[in-house]
Amino acid sequence: MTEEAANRDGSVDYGGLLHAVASRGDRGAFSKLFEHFAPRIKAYCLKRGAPPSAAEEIAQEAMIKVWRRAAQFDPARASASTWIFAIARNARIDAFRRETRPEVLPEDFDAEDPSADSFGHLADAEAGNKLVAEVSMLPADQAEVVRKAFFEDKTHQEIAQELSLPLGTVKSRIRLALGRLRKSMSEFHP
Amino acid sequence: MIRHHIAHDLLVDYASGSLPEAPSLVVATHLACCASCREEVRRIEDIGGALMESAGTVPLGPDALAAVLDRLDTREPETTAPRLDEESTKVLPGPLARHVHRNLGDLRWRRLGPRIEEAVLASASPIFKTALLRVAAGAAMPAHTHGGREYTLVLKGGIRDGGTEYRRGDVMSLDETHEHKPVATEDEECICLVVLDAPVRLTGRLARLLNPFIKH
Repeated sequence: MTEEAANRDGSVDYGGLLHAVASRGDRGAFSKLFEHFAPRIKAYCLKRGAPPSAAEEIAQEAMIKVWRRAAQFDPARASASTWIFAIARNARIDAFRRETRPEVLPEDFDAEDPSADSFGHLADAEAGNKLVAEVSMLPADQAEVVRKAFFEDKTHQEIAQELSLPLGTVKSRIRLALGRLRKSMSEFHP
Repeated sequence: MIRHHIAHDLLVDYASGSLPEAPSLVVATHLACCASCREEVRRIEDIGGALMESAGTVPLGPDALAAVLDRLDTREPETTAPRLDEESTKVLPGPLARHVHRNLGDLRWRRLGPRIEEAVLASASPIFKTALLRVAAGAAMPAHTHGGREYTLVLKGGIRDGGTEYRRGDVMSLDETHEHKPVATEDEECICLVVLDAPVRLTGRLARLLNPFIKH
């Protein structure tokens, strides 16, 4: 039985569903996660240039990784959508670039660096919805570079080349845009 | 205490997933040593997660969920962490240890000078050179004039360049616009990870012909 995991505002608590998967292998909870995230991962892969069959395959692979690694999800470190985004991003890189993705794991952290990792993060769907509005309100030049960075698989250098802009201009546009999005998100979740 | 961090644009490229393997290795290795850059990457991933959340949906095939449910109990192929000797474990942070996958002593070290050795590491892409450098205490580091970006991450010992000192986890990012005379500090030998990305500067059609590996 899956209890209906919900945030106070009534939206689905995806972190709670991940916890149900991790703690008791809850397939019902997993199916809900799948229904929400798999079509988003597929859309994300298509936007980043994957052919449809590959996007479908990556979405399925990523969700299997979500199932296997659910115990590593730490709600104090990341929201469910941030964590699943990272899994999907890496699955896409593994499938496409034929390169490995150097990742840093919690057990890698140098001991002499005691500062606690991270506090506060977005609550999934609500923040996502808020962000759509925010991205659409970004000045056009900033929105363009953010889209290229996150959805077109382009580095700063490649964006600069494509738009015939100095690298410094691309850097500052992305910084401004991220600062602005972040500010709006922290206002949303103080 | 980390003083010299990864440039913000590289953190964004790493978090968004567009950064190639070789510079990603420098970023991930730095992240193992630096909580504040880890935090920044996580914040950028928050934005990536929110953008994915809001990027629309494309339905999967009708049997996708059933197919995935069927596969849930298959075990993940084990990616065993390498078992390294004490020195290698101490010097190589996790992301780099998994990439190198052998002890420092088992690498192929090539002598570049009386007090400096280099071990070239495997790289998925020929446009990058990835290597470990081992420099005797107090010896001069090689001064590259390759005309591209270069990242040097200190793993053991230290580097002094002018009035600036770099220690474990610190990243020295050199470019051809500055005079650099980096020297290993006197206290012990210095081991560092070096990634060069010179050919990325080739642009235009000729470069595409010459180098099919540059993405377009």
